[in-house]
Amino acid sequence: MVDSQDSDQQLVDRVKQGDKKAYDVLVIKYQHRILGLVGGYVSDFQEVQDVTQEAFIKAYRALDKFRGDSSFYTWLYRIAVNTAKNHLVSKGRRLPESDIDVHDADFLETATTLRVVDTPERNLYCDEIEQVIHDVIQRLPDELRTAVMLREFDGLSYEEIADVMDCPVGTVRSRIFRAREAIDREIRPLLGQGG
Amino acid sequence: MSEKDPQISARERLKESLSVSLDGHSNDLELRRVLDGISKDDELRSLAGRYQLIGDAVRGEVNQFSNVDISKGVMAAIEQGDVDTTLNQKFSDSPRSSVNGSNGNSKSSNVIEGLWVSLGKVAMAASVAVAIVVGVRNSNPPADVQLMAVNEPVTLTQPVQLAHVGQNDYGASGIRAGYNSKLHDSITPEQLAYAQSLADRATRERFHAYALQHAELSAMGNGQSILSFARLTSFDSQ
Repeated sequence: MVDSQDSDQQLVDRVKQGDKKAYDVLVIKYQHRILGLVGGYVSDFQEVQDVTQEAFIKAYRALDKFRGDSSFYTWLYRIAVNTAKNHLVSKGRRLPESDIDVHDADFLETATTLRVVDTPERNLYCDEIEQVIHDVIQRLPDELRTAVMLREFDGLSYEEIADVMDCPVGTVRSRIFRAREAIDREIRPLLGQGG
Repeated sequence: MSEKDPQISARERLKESLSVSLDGHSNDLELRRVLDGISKDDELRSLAGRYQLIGDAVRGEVNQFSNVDISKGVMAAIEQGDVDTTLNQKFSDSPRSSVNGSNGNSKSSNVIEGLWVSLGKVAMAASVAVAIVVGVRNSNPPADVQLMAVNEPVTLTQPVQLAHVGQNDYGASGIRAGYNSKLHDSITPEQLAYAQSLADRATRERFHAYALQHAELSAMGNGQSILSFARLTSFDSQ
């Protein structure tokens, strides 16, 4: 099974070689999960963004120390939790009583990701986005739906998906791309993004 | 097939490469092409965010921050931090600032003076780098220009003229405009090393552009994809 450790290694390696553009992709990949995580500690919407930004900058500056013993996301998760806690302490606020211990982060990791802390503010917008995406996935041709679900939900590598679907890896990458494109066409208007 | 088809399919291929890169299954050239595209193309950047959102939705991880994008702010802060760090490293032990310190000038005037010194050094390094790049470009023109040069030797004298304009062998004449310290009439080894690093970076970027072009042609699957890197300079004429 592929995990985020494998899928991020290319990008992490490039950042270590000095390619900042690769870090941009890592930020795009994980910003929403980290924002959700920090949102479990900090209640103010703007502060959440500031603390998350600080966490990403700290992670960038410390990336040389990242040895790859855990996944990049697990490592980033720990930095974000510590940054959020430090922020609360600096503001003289109490740390939350129920907390995901940093040392438990590895055990909580599922196929590809850590779950963000649930918040009661999962609003209509989130529900609508999720609903639309699930609806589009249900309408996709079988081969596209299976490929994208095996990748996104089960976290299988392209090679494993090729084995399961009995097709070449090139077909897998094409099917996953076509599935994403089909979904993207539906969600673009909802997000107010043209193109 | 219409004339626009290759462009459309090139765009589609880039988007497919983005999809593959987010999954960590791209090869090195493909990843370079995607990273280059994301840095220049806001739509491709937004698409990366939407592909990620699709994955989050499948896993039930969409949250109230899913329409927030802090990535540009993070990258801007990192860029700013790098600039600050570089300036501090390059100019922290400036001989001019130690002279000022011994003269007992006020703190604010030292700061302003330091800024001018820094700006002057940056201008010097930039002009040296420009002179080197111009020199390299003039000494290595495209094939058609080389042919012209055989008949018109005047064009070959340009680098020589450039050297005469400056006050030293490095063509660093631009320094004097806002910078009048005698301490900087000559270029120190550190400044030369810094200018060399700028020139090296320009060379690397040029090679990177060739590599990207090669990757582009490879992705398009036309006959030129079999060209080896040893013949990359032939792309100049395309």
